[in-house]
Amino acid sequence: MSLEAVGVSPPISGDAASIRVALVGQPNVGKTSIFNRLTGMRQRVGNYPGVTVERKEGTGHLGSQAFTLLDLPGTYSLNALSMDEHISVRVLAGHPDIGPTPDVIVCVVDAGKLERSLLPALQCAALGRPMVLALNFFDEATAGGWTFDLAGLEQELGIPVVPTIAHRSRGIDQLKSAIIKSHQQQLVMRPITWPDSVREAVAMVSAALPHIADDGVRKFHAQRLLFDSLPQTDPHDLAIKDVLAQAHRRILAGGNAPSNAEPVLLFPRIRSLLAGRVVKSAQLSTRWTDRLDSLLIHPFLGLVIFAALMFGIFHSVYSGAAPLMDLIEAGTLRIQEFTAGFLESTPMLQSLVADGIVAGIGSVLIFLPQILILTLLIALLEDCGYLARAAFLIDRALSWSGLSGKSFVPLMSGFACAIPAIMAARTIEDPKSRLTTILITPWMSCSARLPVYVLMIGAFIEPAYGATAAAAVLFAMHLLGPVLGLPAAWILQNKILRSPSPPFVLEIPPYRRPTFRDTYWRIWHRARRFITDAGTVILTMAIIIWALLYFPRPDTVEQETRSRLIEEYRAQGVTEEVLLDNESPYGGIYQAQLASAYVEQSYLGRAGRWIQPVFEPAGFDWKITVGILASFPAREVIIATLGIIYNLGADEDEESPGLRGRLANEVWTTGPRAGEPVFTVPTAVAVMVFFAICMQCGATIAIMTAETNWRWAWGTFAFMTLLAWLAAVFTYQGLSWIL
Amino acid sequence: MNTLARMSRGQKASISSCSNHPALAQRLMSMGILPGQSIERHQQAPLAGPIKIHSSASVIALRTCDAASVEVTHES
Repeated sequence: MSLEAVGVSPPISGDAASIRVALVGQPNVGKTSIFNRLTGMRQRVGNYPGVTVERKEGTGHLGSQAFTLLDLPGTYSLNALSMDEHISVRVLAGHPDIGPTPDVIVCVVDAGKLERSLLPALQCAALGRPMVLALNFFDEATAGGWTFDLAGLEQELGIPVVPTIAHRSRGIDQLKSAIIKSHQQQLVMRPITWPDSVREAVAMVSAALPHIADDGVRKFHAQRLLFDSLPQTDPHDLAIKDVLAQAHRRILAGGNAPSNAEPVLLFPRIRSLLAGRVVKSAQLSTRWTDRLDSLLIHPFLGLVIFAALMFGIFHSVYSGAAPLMDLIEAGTLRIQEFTAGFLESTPMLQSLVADGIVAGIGSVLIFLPQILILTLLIALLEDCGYLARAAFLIDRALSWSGLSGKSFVPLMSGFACAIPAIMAARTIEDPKSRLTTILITPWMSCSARLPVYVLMIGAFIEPAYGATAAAAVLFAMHLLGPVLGLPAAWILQNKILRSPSPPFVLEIPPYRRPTFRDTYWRIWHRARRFITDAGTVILTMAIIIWALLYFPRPDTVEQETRSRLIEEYRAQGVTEEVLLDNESPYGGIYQAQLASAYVEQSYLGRAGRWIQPVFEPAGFDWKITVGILASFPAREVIIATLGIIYNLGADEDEESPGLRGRLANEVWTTGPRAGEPVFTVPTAVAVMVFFAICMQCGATIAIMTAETNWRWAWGTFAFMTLLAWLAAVFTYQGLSWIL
Repeated sequence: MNTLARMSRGQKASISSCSNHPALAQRLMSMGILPGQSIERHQQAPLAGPIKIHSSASVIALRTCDAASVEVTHES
């Protein structure tokens, strides 16, 4: 998805006065904090064209100089192995879809891990663009015993070096002035002196790229082609392949393996650069981190703490969001009532606004509390360094299916709500593992399925088999997700995507205190993205379902219902006036019967009757079928729809005795089972199994489309619907045979 | 030849060769784990899970299957 598609304007490039600044750095160096401090509110987040790599841009002013800041994804090395790293290289080298090479490159490094984090900075040097080096976490480094000769470092590198403590907003002004200085004086990094063999090899490849006008960009490209293990070449360009093979032979002749020549030659260069300028003067103990680690990743205690934390998250999302969700629900109802009263004279518009649009917006907003809480908790755990440790602990339990420990948090979050869970899959770098994780997340039983379980178990399992069986069935329903999802992941990874498990190298960052501002930003972006991306789709679907339940609405329905009821109640001595009086107890009955009759006559009601034979083998009658059809955009709609169909009005909930009673008394009116109850234990369990497996959630489809593409989203939807049907039939037939 | 996977907890060694799996070798090197780097083996995750490795450049975790391709020489 491009930036345009998510409703943000394309990058500002027309403004001649604005300079483009790129932020480059390895993961865990605090790059995001620097980005947030440099741009403040003026940010927008989208995706790079065609890939789900987050594209973050912001604008700001450096004195009178306007700038656009591009936050590149965390990049261990420009020798790109992940999608994120490919994107970074593309931004740096300039790309027709993204924009020209940045005017200034700011390399963010971890001051305490300079040797390692300088690698991408040195790789950028070939571009010959003005640069600035930000030594972030400077306080942490000095506390860890490092001393810095900043002037010496600046002289050796040829570019400004600025110590920063971005999460505490320190050094930001100095960083801004350094960017201006570097831009005005064109301070480029001193070129790296390569051995003759490598210099000649780079020259050979450069000569083969005459179409690149800019010297620096050509040299940068040549180095990437030469050093990368997966060079991004045009597969049809055989000439460049020959040149590369020759150049590789030249490097080999110089005594270096082409595959690792770059790091093997750059690290000694980095060491000589740092020697005498960045010194660890005191060997301070890391006992504090090690002690915490020996507890948090202890084979037994670590798992206990992990389980407790995950339970805590699950519980907070599950119950912490409840009051807010109730509030949104009540608010929606209030607004529905208000708009309904306002539009009383035009019944169709009234219904469209109240039952279609307002209810649709409500069904989007209802997910926000869970998304906010889950994003908050995950952000805190990630920023403090725990998430990497959790991935470490749980990796073994998932590695058999081809996934890694990084998939655990999204999958677990799926038990609360698939929407934030699918968004949380962004922490997985490997694109295929991320795709698999996204595809199996909706199998985890989300909280919106709970009302169906509560209704069915409360009405049929608990009365017949007692509370223990009821709890066991509820647990089994939640177990169904991983039991089906993990083998599905195995099949996806091994048979469909056929991805070789990428090597799992997990960096375990030091423990750090999360900062309010950065956490707040992250939550804000997630929320906004959900509303713009998923919200529009959910709203559209809600309106379509509303129309299908509302139309064609022939006038005869009202007359027939009225005369039928008048007939029925005349025997009881209820007059027509009393029956049609909204204030009388019979008025409610009349309205409910009328609503039910309209649903039966609606397109969706007719479709339900028409499709019902498909669900016959699962024991569903036409009313359950209509409920299922109506709840495809949002599964929680089933309860309200059943309420309408069973003449009880829409404000039924899963605990109301009325609905449970109606379900228990419902009998087949036609067919071979006429007179027998519709709802038996096998039917009830089949309904639960269907809801547990089926992806009845427009929001999930929308977010899945945004994070992958529509083919995967609708493919998953079709597959899960089919599987849900099969499982429901199997459950119904099996249980009918046993019981 | 000794490998990272065969080290016991608390043992120190230096990397002699970074794996013949190119992607793994590249990733390790970009995290500062390259030949000559001294490392120390720390905890292993439960159920024979990944191994935590400390070096001056970074703290990383590797699965045993990947660690088996990283050759090390023990420090005396």
